Parts: sequence; C-alpha cells; structure tokens
Amino acid sequence: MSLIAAVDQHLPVIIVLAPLLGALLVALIRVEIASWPIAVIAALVSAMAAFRLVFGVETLGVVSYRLGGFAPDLGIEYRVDAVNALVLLLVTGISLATLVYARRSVADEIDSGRVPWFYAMMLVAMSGLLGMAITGDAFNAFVFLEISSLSTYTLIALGRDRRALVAAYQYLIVGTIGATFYVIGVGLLYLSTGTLNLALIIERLPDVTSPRALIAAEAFILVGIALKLALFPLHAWLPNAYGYAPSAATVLIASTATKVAVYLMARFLFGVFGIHVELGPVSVTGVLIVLSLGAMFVASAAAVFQRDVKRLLAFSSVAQIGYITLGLALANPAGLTGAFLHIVNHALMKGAAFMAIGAVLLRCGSSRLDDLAGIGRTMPATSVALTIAGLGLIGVPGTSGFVSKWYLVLGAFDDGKGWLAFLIVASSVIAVLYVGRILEVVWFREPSKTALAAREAPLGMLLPTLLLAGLTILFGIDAEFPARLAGAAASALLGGRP
Amino acid sequence: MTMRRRLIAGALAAFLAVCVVADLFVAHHPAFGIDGTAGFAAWFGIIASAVAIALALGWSRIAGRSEIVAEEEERDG
Amino acid sequence: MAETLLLAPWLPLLVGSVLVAVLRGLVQDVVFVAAPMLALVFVWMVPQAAGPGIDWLGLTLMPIASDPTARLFGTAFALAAIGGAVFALPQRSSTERAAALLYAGSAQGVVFAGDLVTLFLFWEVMAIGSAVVIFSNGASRAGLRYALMHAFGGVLFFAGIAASIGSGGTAIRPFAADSIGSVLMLAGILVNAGAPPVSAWVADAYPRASWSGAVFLSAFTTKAAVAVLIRLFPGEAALVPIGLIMAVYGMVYALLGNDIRRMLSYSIVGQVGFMVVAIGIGTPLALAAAAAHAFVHILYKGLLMMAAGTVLRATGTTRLTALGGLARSMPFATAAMILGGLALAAMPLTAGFVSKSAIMQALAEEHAAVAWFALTAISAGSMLYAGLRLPWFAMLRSSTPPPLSLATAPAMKLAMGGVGLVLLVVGVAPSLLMRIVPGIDAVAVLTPDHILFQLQLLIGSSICFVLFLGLLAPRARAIRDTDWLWRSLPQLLVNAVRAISRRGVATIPSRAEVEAKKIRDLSEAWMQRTMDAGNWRTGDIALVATALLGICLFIAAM
Repeated sequence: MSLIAAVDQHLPVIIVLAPLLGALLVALIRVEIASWPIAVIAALVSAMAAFRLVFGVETLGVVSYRLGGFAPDLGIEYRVDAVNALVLLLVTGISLATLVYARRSVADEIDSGRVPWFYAMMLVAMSGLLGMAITGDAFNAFVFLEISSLSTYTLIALGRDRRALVAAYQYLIVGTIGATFYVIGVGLLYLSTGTLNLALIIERLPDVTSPRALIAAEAFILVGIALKLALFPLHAWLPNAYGYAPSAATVLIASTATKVAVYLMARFLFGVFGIHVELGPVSVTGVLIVLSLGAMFVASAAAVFQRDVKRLLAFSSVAQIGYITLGLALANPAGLTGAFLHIVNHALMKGAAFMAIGAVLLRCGSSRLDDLAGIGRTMPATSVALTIAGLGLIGVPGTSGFVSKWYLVLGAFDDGKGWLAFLIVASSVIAVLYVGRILEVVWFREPSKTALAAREAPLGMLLPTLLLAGLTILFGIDAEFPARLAGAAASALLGGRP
Repeated sequence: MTMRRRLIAGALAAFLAVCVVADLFVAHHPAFGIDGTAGFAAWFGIIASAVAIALALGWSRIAGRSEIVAEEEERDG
Repeated sequence: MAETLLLAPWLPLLVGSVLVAVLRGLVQDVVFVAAPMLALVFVWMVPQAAGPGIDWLGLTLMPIASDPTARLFGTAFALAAIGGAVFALPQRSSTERAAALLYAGSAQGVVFAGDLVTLFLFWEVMAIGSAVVIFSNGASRAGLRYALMHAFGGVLFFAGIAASIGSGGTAIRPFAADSIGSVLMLAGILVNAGAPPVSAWVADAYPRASWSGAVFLSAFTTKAAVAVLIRLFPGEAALVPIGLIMAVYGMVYALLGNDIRRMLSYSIVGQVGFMVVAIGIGTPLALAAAAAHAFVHILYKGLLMMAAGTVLRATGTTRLTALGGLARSMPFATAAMILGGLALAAMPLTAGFVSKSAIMQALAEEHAAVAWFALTAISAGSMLYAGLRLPWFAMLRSSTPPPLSLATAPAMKLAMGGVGLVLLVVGVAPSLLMRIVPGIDAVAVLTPDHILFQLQLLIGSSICFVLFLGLLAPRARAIRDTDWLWRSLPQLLVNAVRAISRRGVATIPSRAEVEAKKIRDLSEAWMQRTMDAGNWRTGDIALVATALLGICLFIAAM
C-alpha cells in the first residue's frame, strides 16, 4: 500500500522521467534487439502514470509537485490541472501506440546501426513534450521545448530521403528562431514580475506598471510558439519535415508536437495574458481568427495539389491546426471545448493516417499518390483505416471530426459569428477534394504492379493503426469521454482568468 | 413527308376529332373558364408541343456546342 | 420503446450494406434482395409515432419517427430498392451493392428522421453512398464533382440547421424562408433537389453510373429532398417559380438530349419541378399530391432507367444516334420503356395519370393560373420526349440495330415486370394509391371529362411529334448546361481580367510597366510559395516570422 501511495505522490515526475531514463538506457546499451522493448516499456510506464494522474486530477482538481521540495518562487513546480492532464494522456497514449507501431517500420527505414539512436530520440522527444505540458515554470518549458525540438531534428534527419537532411536543417533554423523569440518573451516577463513560475506571474501581473513590456513579451512568446505549432503563415517548415521524416517519427511529431505547442499557446493566452487583451487597435483574437482562416483555406487548397500523400497529409495538418487555433480565438466554452476535442481527435485521425501511409511505404516503397493505385484490394485493412481517418478529416458525421467541428460551429454561433460557422463548414468542402483524391486512387483505380505485389501490413503495425482509426469512429459516435475532458479543460482555462 | 407518316398523322387527327366531339357531351369542371370549353386540351396540346419544340431548338442554337465538345464530354469520366 | 428502434426501416438496409460488403456469392445475392424487402415490412410495422430519444452531444436525437408522409416515401424507397436490387442481380459488383444499400438505408433515414440533426446525419451518409455508387463504375472525376456538389449542399444545410437551432431547437417543423438560417437550409435542400442554378449535377452524374447503379440513383436523392421540403417548407411561395423553371429546364434538355440516361436525368429535374411547385402551393391537397407524384415518379423513372440499363448492358451504348431497331430483339425492354414513358406523360390507366391529376387539381383549386397552364403545357412536352421521342428513336424506328452482346437476364425482366405491373394496377385502380396517400382521395381521376382532356392533350402532342419528327431527331451535340457557371465561367473571368490588365499595362509608359511587371512577378512568386509551402527558403520563413512579430510590436507601440 505504502508503495502505491509513494508512487502516486511522484506521478508527475514519473511521467517525464520514465521516457528520459528509457532513452538513457537505450543509448547506453545500444543493442538493436533490446531497444524496442525498452522503449515500449518506458512509454507504457509513462502512459500508465498519466492515466492514473488524469483521474487524480478529475477528483482533486489541481495536482502540484515541487521538484526537490523548493517553493515555487525558487524551484520548479510541476502543475497538472484539467488542461494539461488531457494533453499528457494524449501524448503518452499516442507515443505508446507509435512505439508499438514503430518496430517493423523502423527496421525497414532506418540503417541498422542507427536503430537504437532512433528509439532513444523518440523517447527524448516524448519526454520533452511531456515536460513542456506538465511544467508550471515558463523557463523550464523552454528547456523542454529545446529538448523535444533537438530530438525531433535528429529524428527527421534520420529519414532515408536525402531531402530529409534539408528539411531537418530548415526546421532546426526555424525552430531555433521560435525558441529564441519565446525565451526573449519569458525574459521580459521575468523582468516585469521577478518570477518564472506561471502561477506566480499571474498573481503579480496586476502590479506590473509598464503594460508595454508585457505586450512585447506577449508578442514574442506567441510568435515564438506560433512557429512551433506551424500557425499559418509560419507553416512552411512543416510539409517537408513531415514528408521526409521516417514514418514512425512523422506519426509522433504530427500527432503530438504541434498539439503540445497549441497547449502552451492556450496556457499563455488564457492563463497568463488573458485572451481579451487588446494589442492597440487590434485584438489578439482578431489576428488569430484571420490566421486560422488562412490556414483552413490556403493550406487545404495547397493539400489538393500535392502528389505525395505524406506531404498532402502534412498540409492537411496545417489546415486542421487552423481549426484548433480558431477554437482558441473564439474563447467561449463551446469553442474551447471544440479546440481541445480537435487536439485529441486530430491527433488520433492524423496518427492513423500517417500510420497507414507508413504501412504502405513499407509494402510498396512509395508514398506517391499514383503508386497507391488500387492498394485497397491488396491492403484492405490499412486502406480502411486510411479511409476512416480521411472521413474524419472532412468531418463526416459518425467520425470524431464531426464532433469537434460541431462544437466549433456552436462556439461561433455563441460568439454571434454566424459567418464564421459557415466558413468552418465551408472549408470542409476543400477537405472533400483532397481526401476524395486519396480515396479514389486507393479504392477505385486499377492496381499498379507494386500494389498488386503488396501484402497486408504486419499485425504489429496494423493493430495500432486500427486502434486509432477505431477511436476516431468511437469518439464520433460516443463522444462523452473526450468531450468531458475537453469541457473540463475549457472551463479550467476560462475560469482561471475572467 | 412519307406516305406512312401522313397516314399516321391523319389517323391521329381523326382520333383527336372524335375526342373533341365526345368532349362536347361531357360535363366539365373548369377552374379558369377556358379550360372547361370543349376541345381546349386539343388545341392547347398542339400549341404547347409546338412551342416546346421551338423553345428547345432555339435554346440549342444559343447554348449548343460543337460535336467535338460532345465527344469530349462523353469521354470525361 | 427500444423495440421501435429495432423496427427502424433503415436498420436492415445499413446492416445489409455491411453484410453485402463482407459476403460473397449466393448468400450476398440473398442479403442484397432481402434487406430492402425487410425494410418494406418495417416501414409498415413501425408505430406511427416518434420513437425514443438518444442523447448525443447534448442534443436529443430521434432516429425514428413515423408518420403518413414518412410511410409513403418509405414505401416508395423500399419498392425502388427491391426493384433495383433484383434488377442488379446480374451486376456482380460488391462495392456497388454495398453502396446502393447504404444509399437506400440513409434515404429511409432521412424520411424517418425525428429531428433536424438526425436528418442531416442521414443526409450526409446518403451523399457518400450515392457518390460511391458512381465511383464504383470507375467514373472518378464525375464522382468527385458529384461529391463536391453534395458537400457544398451539405454545408449550406448544416449551417442553416446550426443557425436555426437557436430558435426552436432541433424539432422538424415548418420554416419560412425569412431568416439567414432557414434560407441556408432551403438552399441546401434545393441543391439536392436539382434546382437551378446547380441543376446540372443530376445529368452530369447519373449517366456515369453503371447500367444498374443509375436505377438506384434515380430514386433517392432528389425525392428525399422533396420529402424534406414537404416537412420543412410547405407553402413557401418562392418554390413555385423555382419549380416552374425546373420543369421547363428539364423538358427542354430532355427534348434535345442524345444519351437516354442523360435525358432521363433531365426528366427527373423536370418532374421534381412539378412536385416543388405543388409544395410551394402548400395546401394539404397540394402537399399530398406532391408526395403521391414522388411515389409514382420513383416507380416509372426506375422502370425507364431499368430499360435504359438493359439497352446499355446489351449494346454498350445509350446514345440515340447509335440505337434504333431494337423492338424485335429486345421486346421486354421496349415494352418497359414505352410503359414508363407513357406513365411519365400521365397517360390514363397508368399511375402517372393519378398523381399528375392530383397536382393539377391542387393548382386549380388554388386558382394558380400561371402554374396550371405552364404545367399543362409541359405535360404535353413530356409526352413528346418520354412517351414518343425516347421509345421511337431508341427502339421502334427501323434502323440497323447495334449488335447485342448480352441477353436480358431473367432477374432484370422480373424487376421490370414487377414495377410495370404496379404502375398499371395503380393506374386502373387509383384507390390503391389513395389508401396510402389519404390526402388525395377527393381527386377526380377516372372521370370522362378528365380522361378526354388528357387524351386530347396527348394526341395533340403526338400529332406535333409526327409533323416535326425531323426536328426532334437525335444529334450528337452538347448543350451548355448550368455547370458552365462553375466549370467554364471562372476560366473566362480569369482570362478576361488578364486581357484587361495586359491592355492596361500596354498603355502606360515603359517605366511604370517595368514596375508593374516586378510587382506582378513578385506576387505570383508569393502565390506559388503559399500554395507550395514546402519549398520556401529558410530565410523567407524567418522573414515572415520576424514580420509578424514586428507587426505585433508595432501595433503594440502605437
């Protein structure tokens, strides 16, 4: 009993440490066969801790953990509430599924000597993302941001395509600029308030005499995070990064990295600065709505013209992130619930889609749209998962994508913006185009030679893919559980600061 | 016009005449007045059909496209 | 209460759709035909009341709510699905079969929906099912155009529903097109009904389905839209002119058409126009007449599509220019086409006469003179294209018939015979139809003045046909349709703008010209980069980020 109680006390730190220690172990042992089991176990421990923590948060409200027992104004505080509990659960769950999926895909795509490093980097990235989500300290968040970013650059560079190196390099430059902006903003905050702890910053904000410094801090922090989450028009690094990274890495970063960045943005927007702060004559929400709409329409339109499915899905990610930031900008319960639901739902469906493409890549050696012709006949289960994910991206009723769009539309109406609701649904028409292209090629074209030679994906890859696709359907029909968590997150954010 | 078509047209016209005569002896329930007169439907039907043909052919003059386009459309799955 | 849910008419069809996708061989055949039959049984067994509510996303969904209208449309849809399934038995495409049952099931769902959200859910599934029917024939581009059009209609409908929930919840109730929400809803429904200016999708999509798939397509989408219009917009005055335009449009294009199935698709729009006019009149008789006409139209249009499908399967073409002289080699299909055409033209003793009489009487009672005279004239025109032109040029005229590759299968004969029989029985005994549609039981159908009126109209039309036979002969030509608006107009506009700007550039001095060219090149380059973001230079990304930051800071400093 006492052991469980002791473990319970340290849950927040276990979530972050388990993958970090796992990474260390993998890197030290450096034996290819041992890497995968260690990685899966580490992710499993972290996921279980997150699962337990979510229910703790549902009963207790806020769980605060002081690293080394220092008070928040001196040390680092891990702080879990309804908002990041959801993100923690998502990141650990998706990472676990990805790692289970990764074994065959990695064995095929990564040079054998580098396999342990790949798993180590996956775990480090996971650890960094979890750290970003869990920490209650602005500078500590920067440290974890860098940890996750650096490992992500490595993951992308491990891609087999030579263009992966360029993509990684570009992401490195852009990510570093974003991180620099962020840390400058945090510095300005520290100058004004004398603390790095988010909760304390909020407490001391009313006493700040110079609003200019604050607004400058907000601008730096938000633009910095916007680069990381690929907010339109700062999304240009993303298609290549997703497109040329190894399949497993694409799944991980597409489903989790941008989502954690969105969480961080929400935390600063609502928790620290307050969403209704006016930047001179223009409000933050106004800017965010315009950029979100830009993402929804321009990136979707760009997706239609892609020839490579991975890049197509990457552009679709930019568009879908637009829905999420739009929900943030609406800043009312329904809109925010929609945003957080879409964080979860999009992670699931895009994870399933990228997993399916990874399986096709394994069997056919190509992710070009034309090479997928008729793949539905030889890889039916994979194609079904891809289809479900695609329907989710459109927002077809019965998939989770419909539920999140439903909340977003409600949020738009609650805000008195009927035209915005119309634009939200109108943008799905473009999604019909790009998803329709994929589905047409997969199901109705005559199979190409490579497609005819392909076999169904191995079970180890198929199961996680089908799991995520199944959840997309499940959350589309019975949305009670995710809607409850997302609703709690929304009310926690809105209640934090009127 | 061939002989056969003329014969058919004549037969139809005769049948129509019989109908119009019969129409003189049945009770009508007009809603607009004119539609209750005997033989209304006969002349209205002829005129309406002629107008319909004229309308269709006129429209095909305005909006018609070449046969090449028609073939392209056939192939455009 | 839960038993009501188990009796939902869409349930056997949706389950059947899944089974058909999984099963093969004889078992698949049995499920394919049995599912719509079971649906027909359920249509009549389900209690005439709203079923249990299901909570979803904070809304109460009512997936099953039966009333006379729902039962009427449900019966028609089930009959069409049974006929279509039997007819399609020689077509061994599991994809098409599964999609057809999904399509039929969601159409049942639409008419039996107890609230707007359920209605919309089935509405979307219906679009998916029908698009897959088209896709399964390999018509990928047409299928995509079709899917896009319905996604567009769905968007309008969804936005309208979401806006209307604020005032009155999700209950299905009559609306008036006076607020943005209800106008959007109406527009979304009219897209599915094939109303102008988007009517072109019907004739673009339906002829691209397989010989069996088109039978399903002709039955559900437009008539489900009619059912929804009856529920949501009875008596909406704007529907009268819209319906009249549809009726004229359908007749004109059907008169000019060369492809049989294209003609029949245009004719769908025309006949739905009759129903839309009646809904716009909105009296109880008019609404019942619209429903009755939908019922009958589903049957005779199904029969015509079957005849066309039989010809297509046997000869590989449905172009009138390539057909003719088939009466002797395909007597069954010829008879079906003549019967269907005559029913469409409302020949006495066919079912079409019953329902069209009801519509005309509803118009007469309301003294809607313009609509009455126009629709009477169009009825004469319908005789021209469906009762005469179609069977004459496709089957009867003496010409060298194209070689037949496949004989008409017994199942296809059974389907055509069954549907034809229903059309005749209802035509001889109109009281049978009036029993299902009690609203039209006061209509005088088989009275002497009425029969004489219709005979004179049809004979007059026939005389015109004989006289102007040469003018109506089929020709391989394409007529611009309303899809010109979205398939050609944008390109023309772009070209025009380019031409104007080029002319404008030509007149100004050379230095300004260089500047303008620079700006144009720059903006084009940026357009290109936005569309193809992956190929930005890193410096450009940094530049954009810095610019965004700078703008924020600048605004803050002001």
